[in-house]
Order: sequence, then structure tokens, then C-alpha cells
Amino acid sequence: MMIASVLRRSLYEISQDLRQRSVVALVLVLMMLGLGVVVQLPAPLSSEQNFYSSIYYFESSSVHFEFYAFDQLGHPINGVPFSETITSQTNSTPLAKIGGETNASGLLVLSATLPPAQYNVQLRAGPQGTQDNFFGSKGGDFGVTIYPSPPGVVNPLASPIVDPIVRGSFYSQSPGLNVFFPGPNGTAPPDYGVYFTTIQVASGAPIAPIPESSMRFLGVLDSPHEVFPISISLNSNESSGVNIQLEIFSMYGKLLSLDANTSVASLPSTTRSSAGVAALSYGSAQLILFVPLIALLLAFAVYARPRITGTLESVLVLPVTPMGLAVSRYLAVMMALAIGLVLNIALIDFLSWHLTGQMVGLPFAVEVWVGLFVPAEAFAGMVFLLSQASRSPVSVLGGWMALYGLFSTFWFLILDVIGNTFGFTTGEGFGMVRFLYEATFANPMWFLDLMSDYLSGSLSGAGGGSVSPATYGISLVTVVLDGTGWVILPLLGFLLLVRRRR
Amino acid sequence: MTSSQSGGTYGLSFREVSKTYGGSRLRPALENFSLEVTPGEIVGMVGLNGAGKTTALRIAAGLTSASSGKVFVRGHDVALEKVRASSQLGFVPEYPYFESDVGSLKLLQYFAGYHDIHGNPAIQQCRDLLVKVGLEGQETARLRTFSQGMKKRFSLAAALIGSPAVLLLDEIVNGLDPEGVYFVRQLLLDLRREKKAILLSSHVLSELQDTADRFAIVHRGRLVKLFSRDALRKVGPLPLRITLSNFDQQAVDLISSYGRVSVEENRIWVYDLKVDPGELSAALGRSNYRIIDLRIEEPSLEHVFLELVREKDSNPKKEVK
Repeated sequence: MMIASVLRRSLYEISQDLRQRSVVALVLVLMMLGLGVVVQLPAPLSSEQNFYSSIYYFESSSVHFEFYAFDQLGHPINGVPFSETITSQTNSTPLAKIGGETNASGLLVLSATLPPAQYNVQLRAGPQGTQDNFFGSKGGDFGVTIYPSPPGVVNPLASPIVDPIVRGSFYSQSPGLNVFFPGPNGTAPPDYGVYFTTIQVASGAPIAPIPESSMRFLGVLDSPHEVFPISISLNSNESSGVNIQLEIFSMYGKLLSLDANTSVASLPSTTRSSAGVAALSYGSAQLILFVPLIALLLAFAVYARPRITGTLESVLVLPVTPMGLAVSRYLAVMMALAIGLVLNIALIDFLSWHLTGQMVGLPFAVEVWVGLFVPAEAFAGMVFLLSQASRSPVSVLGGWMALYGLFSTFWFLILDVIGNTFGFTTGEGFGMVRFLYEATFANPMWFLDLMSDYLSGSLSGAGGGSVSPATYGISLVTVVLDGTGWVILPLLGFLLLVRRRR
Repeated sequence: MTSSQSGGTYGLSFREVSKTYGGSRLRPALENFSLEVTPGEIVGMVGLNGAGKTTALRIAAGLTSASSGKVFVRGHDVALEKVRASSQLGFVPEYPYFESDVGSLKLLQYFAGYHDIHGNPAIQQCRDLLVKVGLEGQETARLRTFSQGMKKRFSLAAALIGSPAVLLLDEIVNGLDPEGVYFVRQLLLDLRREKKAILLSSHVLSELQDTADRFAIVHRGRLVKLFSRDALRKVGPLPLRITLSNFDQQAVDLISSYGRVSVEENRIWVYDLKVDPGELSAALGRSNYRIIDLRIEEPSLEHVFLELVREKDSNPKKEVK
């Protein structure tokens, strides 16, 4: 009953604090700090990185061409122009001129009244002068030959039916394969089986079909175009000269199409994207300087100022315990920082997506969030601690500024002094390099770098080679302990003072 | 025995409360302070600056912890059952500080939430309270626009949220204009009729004298005297007030030989008169002093208080009866 009462009042206080105008404003400022990532983002990659796939099939007295235009994220592109001039195989007399633009679904069907036969097709694909991918070329005019086939049977037209794309959704990023292969007469495929394997590409060697039993199942194709996630574990050295051989089988196991043009190296990375690196770099170099300031202002608005000015006492006379109020306000600041950082990274992701077509990616988003949340909490906790120790604004702000200066501006100066005092030199067993790495544990503003050091898996050692982070004591356990310590210790000190200073 | 059971009255109860700030070497701000305020009673706490009045009120309000002893609010130990005790208590500090950029109604609603009063009932009660303390029409005004007197009234409204059984009022009339003082006096009488237990500290002793049912004289952290208004007349020595038309220092010297003297303009108060007033009158006549007025002064709280303090200071070990 008593616990429920305390909990109810605590939740009430937190909800009230989070609605304060100053808190909302600071959360929004924290979010808007994400705008700065623009200067760090890589040059746009995907805006012109479009793909076209096409097929043709005959009917008794006509030939049909179907085009599909999409970008590297697998999104259909509206309004891409295609035109064809079909000529006889025996002479260059034009038999038909057809053209059009893709619809909102990225699709275009062109038809000509011609009986099944071999024809030459002069194809103009996409806006001229662009860098769009069309069977390895970059847009423009192509001359291809089409061959007669039984009515309704679909054939690729001068382009792969498979293209590598980035599978993007909010906070996730992985490689995918876009497969464009309609069913008979351009209809939805009746559950075609899609299989793949990797092959070593030998120059000039023909591509031979592989039985589906020797391949990996990719998925079922039941619409003309579909994106399939794909996972291939090859390091950068192994993937050189390796292609993906993809085969489409009917539901009765008949091989319908084969494509082996997509190289493994062309698949986008799942781990370290340039947008993610940009977010990480922006977080550790710029955001880390501002996030503690936001933490200061939040903690000052929610606890330090009311305590210094005495307005906190107007709440303390209410049915609430001093400890309950202190914890509630600390949690409110913690939640405001957490929300602000989520919004900040969401904005970074949004900008990254729209400006470069890349997502930051969940691993990077989590890394940046945790790497900034820990120091934010540490600096907020320092404000709570200092304001509980003294009701002088000069002491609170001065003390906090001194700590901020120590951990930011003067950190390396202090490390240099210590290193020189103890005679640390490069290359020694306990030299300067080791000292600098291990000193990151002692600075909350370096927590994001500490996490990156651990996650990178290798560091530059004293001798210039790469060494394991564990060499310098950087392991999952030590990183978690360090982060937990920076969050918990100022809070414990603060709560201890709340208990004693009455 | 639980703390609730030992809490004595269902009003406010101080039990042997002591408070020492900053270390045991310092003189206690409050020492073995015991006091009961029963429902429907106003107790006026009187003392010099630093006597310990505010410390006592802050301990009862849960803002300061006692070094020893206990305070009970309606049977709930303030130290151990702060939430329950505070839900039955309202406190008006001498200098109320509130968030200045918030509207008065909104801030009261925030306070009401701690009394589990939310939504429309909270709005209605807070509006009623603002009207009750004379702040109608100020619902949306921010507190930074309030005068000191308005802040005091707002503080009173905040203290009355949830209709607490016990009220602690520290220098409630400070900063109030005469109309405000009258208003507070009437409000206190209303609250007494509502059976609130009210502990009131004030430097305006005349105000206390008119309002309080009992008086607690606090000096140097100790409760030196507790008496009712009816007992006021019996408490202290009644001074003789003499008004002379030809007042001078020699007259003061002359009167000093008959008792202890206090002078204000041409009026002289004589305490502990050693002779009959007629004899003093005759002596003044013999020295050609013309007496305009000579009377036994009605006992006032101020005189009683000053006498008690003087007596206590001159003989700290003497128990005051």
C-alpha cells in the first residue's frame, strides 16, 4: 500500500517534470543537435543509382515487353522513359516503334503486333546521360536480339533479372536481391522457387545450371518483382571474383531462368556503412561536447534550480518523501535525456536516409545512443550531486564547469603531465599508448570511443600493429562496468547526500 | 507500540524534539521541545529571532529532520510516515518560494496531484481555494507577477489543498496589508471552527493575542512558557504606566528607585513596583512632576513575552512558572 503510494507519486512527479516547458524545449534542442550530422554524411550514393530490369514474351500475334525501374533501395521509380524500335532480322526495316514511361509501381508494358520471330530491337532506356544500371551499362541505346519462344514464356531482355540492393527499414540495413521475373504472359508468378549459390567466376567459362538441391533456397516468388534478403559470409578477400548464381524454378522443378551476373562484392555491407560511421564520428567528436551541456541544463531546470532557489521546499511539504522526490526528478531527467537522444539519432537517421539513401543502422544507432547516454547521465548526476551538496549556484555551476573542463579541454593535458611524470614512452610494456587507452575508462566523455574500441575488435598497438582491445583491458565486462559506474556513482552520491543533508 | 499509537492527540504533537545544526558543539536550535496542538485550537508561538520557532515548524513540516525526539501529525510520525503525515498537514513558510513562471491555478493543480486530487475535482478545489484566499481572477497569472502579500495568500491556498487537519503558519501576516491581516484573522477563526489544529508563529504579538487560544513562549530553543489566553492576565507582573507632562531624565531616575523602568516618549512603565502606586504618585508630586495619567497597564502578550525573556536571560537556570 505504502509502496504503491510512493510509486504513484513518483510516476506523477516524473510525468509532471517531463511536461515542463523547459524540459520539452531542451529535449527538442537535443533532437535538433542531430542536424549537425549533415556535415559528416558521405556524398549521396543512391540518388542516381537506379536499376532497370526487363523481360519479353510472345503471344500468337504479338510481342510484349515489360520493364521495371527501381533504385538501389528497391523502391520503384515513376516516369522512367523506355522506347523501342523493332526491326526485322533480315533487313533494318522498322516494323514497330513503341515507347512509354514507367508508372508509380515502376512498371511499363510495351506491346507490338508482330508474330513470334527473331527481331532486332533498338532500345533506348532511361533518361539519357544518367548513370543508371542496365545490364552493366549506364543507360542509353542498346541493340539486342529477341528470339521466338512459345506463347507466354518469359525471357530476360538484355538485362539481369537480379540486382543487388540495400534492404532498408528504419534502423535496419542489410543486403538484398531484387528479382524481376513475371509469370506467363506477364502475370504474377505461380510460386516460383528462387535458389542461389556462390560461384567462382572463371574468365570465358560458360555458366552451367546447378541443380536446386545443390543450392540454397532464397524464397518464393509470387509477384513479378520481389526483394529477398540474402546473407553471405565472405570476407573482402574471399568475395573477390565470386558471383551469385541465382536460378528460378517452376513449382514442378523446371528451371525457368538463370542469372549469374551479380558479384558478391556488389552486395552492400551489413555492418559498417558510411552513414553509420558518420553518425559515430559526429557523436564522438561533436555531440559529446554538447550533450553534457544539455544534461546540465535539464538537471538544473528539474532539480538544481528549485533546490537553490528554495522552490523545491514547496513540493517537499507535500505528501512525498525527500528521497522519493529526488529519485523521481533524477528519473525524469534520465528519461528526458533518453528520449532526446532517441529523437536525435532518429533525426540523424532520417537525414542520412534522405540525403544519402543510407540508414545509420541499428548497431550504430544503439552504439551512439548508449555512448552518449552514459556521459549525459554522468554529467546530469554531477549536477544533482553538486546541488545537493551546496545551495550556492556558483558552487554548483562552477563545480560542474570544472569537471566538464577537466574531462574535455584539459584531459589530454592532464594525461600528458601524468605520462611525462611517470616517464611513459611509446613502445614500452606500460607505455603511453596503453596509458591513453586505459585512461578512457576514467573519462565519461570518452565512453563512446571506448565502446567503439571494443566493437571494432582491433586497436592500433604501441608498435603500430593492430592488437586486440583486451590487450588494454577493453572487454565487454569492463566496458559495461565502466558505463554502469558512470551512471550509478553520481546517483549514489546524490542519494547519500539526500539522506544525510536534512 | 507503533508510532501512530504513540502519537497522542489527533492534532499536532512535538515530543522532546531537539535539533542541532552543524555539529553537537553548537547550541541546539531546539531543545527538548514538547507541545500539543489539539483540533480546533490555535497555538501562537512567540520568540525572538533565532529562538527556534521556524526550526520547530520546519521539523513538523518534514523539511528538516529532528536530531532527537518525534513529531506526530494526527498520530503519524513525520520522520517515519512522511507521506501520511504530510497529507494531513499544510505549511505556510515565512518566505514562500514558488516556481515563478507557472500560473497560480496550474501550480495549485500540481500540488493537488500529490494529494491524489486530479482532473476536474482538482481544478474545482484549486479555484475555490484561490477564491477563499482572495486571489479570484488570478488563476492564469504567473507567480512572478504576485506581490509578497499575494504570494502569502497563494501559499495559504497551497497549504489548504486537501483540507489538512493541521496547519503550520510561519509569520503568516508578514508582508500583508491591513486588509490582508484582517482577512487572515477571519480565515484563522474559520479554520478553528473547522476543527483544524493550527500552530502559528508571529512577531506581531498583538495579532497573536487576538487570535490564539494558547501561547507558547520559545526562547533559545526551549519552550519556556505555555499558557492560555485566559491565563494571560495571571502570567506576568502588571506594569504601572505613568504619563508626565514635564518628563525628564531626573523623573526616570526618581521612578527607577521604586522599580524597574521602561520608557517610551513621555510614558514610563514601572515593573516590579516596590511601593504602593499612591506613594510613587506622592513622591513625583513632591518633586513637582505633573502626572497626566497613572494606571495599571492591562496585561499584553508583548509585555509578558518581554518580561519572560528578560527573566530567562537574567537567570537562565530559573524555571519560569
